[in-house]
Amino acid sequence: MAPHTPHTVSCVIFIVSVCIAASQITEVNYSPEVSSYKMAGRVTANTVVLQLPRCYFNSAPSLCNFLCDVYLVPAVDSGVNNFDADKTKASILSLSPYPTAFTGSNPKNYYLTKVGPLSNYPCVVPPGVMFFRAGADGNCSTPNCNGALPTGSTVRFKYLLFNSATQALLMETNWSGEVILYSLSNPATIDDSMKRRSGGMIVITSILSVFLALLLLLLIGLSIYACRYTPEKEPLPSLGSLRVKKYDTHNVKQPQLYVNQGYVDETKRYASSEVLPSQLKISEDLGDSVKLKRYQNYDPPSSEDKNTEKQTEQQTPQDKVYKV
Amino acid sequence: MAGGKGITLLMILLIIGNVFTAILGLALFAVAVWVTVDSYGLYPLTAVTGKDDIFAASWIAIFTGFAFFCVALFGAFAAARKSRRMMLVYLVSMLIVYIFECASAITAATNRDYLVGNSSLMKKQMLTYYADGSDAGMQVTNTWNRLMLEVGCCGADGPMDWVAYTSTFRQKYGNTYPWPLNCCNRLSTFDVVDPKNCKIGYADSMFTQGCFSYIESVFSRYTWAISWYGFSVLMFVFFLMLLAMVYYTKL
Repeated sequence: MAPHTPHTVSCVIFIVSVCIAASQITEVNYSPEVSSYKMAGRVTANTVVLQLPRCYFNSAPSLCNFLCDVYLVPAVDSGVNNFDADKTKASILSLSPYPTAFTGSNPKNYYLTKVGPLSNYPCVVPPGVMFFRAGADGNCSTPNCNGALPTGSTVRFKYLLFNSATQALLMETNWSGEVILYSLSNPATIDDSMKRRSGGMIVITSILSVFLALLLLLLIGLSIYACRYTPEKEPLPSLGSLRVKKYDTHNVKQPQLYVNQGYVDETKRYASSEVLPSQLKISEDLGDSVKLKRYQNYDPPSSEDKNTEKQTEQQTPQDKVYKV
Repeated sequence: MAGGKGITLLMILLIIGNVFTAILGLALFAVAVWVTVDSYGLYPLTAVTGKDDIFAASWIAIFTGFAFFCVALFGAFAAARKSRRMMLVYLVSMLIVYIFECASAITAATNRDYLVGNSSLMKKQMLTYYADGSDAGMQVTNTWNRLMLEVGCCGADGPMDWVAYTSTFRQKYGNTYPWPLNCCNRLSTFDVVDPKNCKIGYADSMFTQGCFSYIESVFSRYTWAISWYGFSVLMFVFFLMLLAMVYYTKL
């Protein structure tokens, strides 16, 4: 009994210390946060950009200056409880590899991915943009790869500190708040029908339509008016406006003997006062003679014959029968 | 006499008005040519939807602009000749040109409302056709690439368009890049300044404004050229034609 006692006692002490060490995951009172930089892709459908775990694990043991790694646990819905149940197991790192973490009949809904050694994240913030993008590797299958998160899921994060030599979980932060990823919409659901007509379009359409109608009506009216009231080509005759020459009909009103001096020599052809009878004989009244109306002799009026002419003129022509 | 003086005044007014209309028509012709040529290169965006009526309206305006020029000069000549027949021909021709120009102005204004009333149509088109391998897709891709590079913008309303919707681009290229590389800031050598930060959308490494406001301004510019300028020409021509009708009745 005596030679075995120290060996068994040391064995027991070792086992107990390991057990105590294994159950002592220090919880740090920080929680991961979405990056605070101004960026459009902080949260997408499959990825989240997180702030780095600076100063989170300040209270890590001194061996962690060189030998510790920071890991991230994204957990979806029930993955939070699953991880909390599984975290005390020694094989936690390989318990839920990425491709099967969210698929299958009973998925764990969490996975672990390596962020980097703790020495990369000192407390003093260097200049530049630093972040960690969860889900950056897309559809990967290597151990502890940074696989894409399920679209539209609600994710919570936790940073872990592992001893890189022993793969033992040393420290963990709190769970972060819920981060809701975008659920992708189908662009066919975008309603691209016309919403509203602009004011300018209404003004143009209404005014132009009215004016066009007016123009058409006016033109039709004009053509009707033009057909009805076409002015004549010739000017209308206006009485009294014509100037007619006034002719002096002297030969009808006062007939006078006209002797053409050019033919005076030809006395036999043309009657003159010497040829024409100067006396007018009055014959007896015959019973069966016709009484004719005769005009006066067209002798030029002379002073001797004036009395005789006047006498003959006084006699009424129709009562006398003249014998020539 | 007074009638004669009135006619002479009308004739002078008509001649001056018609010469001015000829100038207006020529300017309309020139502006319509400018719109048709599409110096901003945005025609594929309308062609893909099948509603390129702004450009149809500009084609019509080319012809009506030139027709206004010709008919107005003829009208000046007809007024000077005091010929009834020629004035009637002038009135009827002007009416026909008037009808077509009305159609052009109204079409351009209506189509603009459909295309760029809000950003939905452009966004949907971008998501569906960008990176598509078809003819239409290639044209749209080239147009958007040039737009994003020259104007400095990303997406229709912003980069979140690429994030919030599935797209042909995402189907083809996966989740590595949430948006096309043309959204990223580039040096004068066209190298991307910072691909890593552009990938996550860091504001200094990429363009965060949407392209829609630029597209809308271009199409509005085309539309104001065709529809509002055409509208003003038509207003002037309407009153000129009233004058011509009065002149016709006095001839």
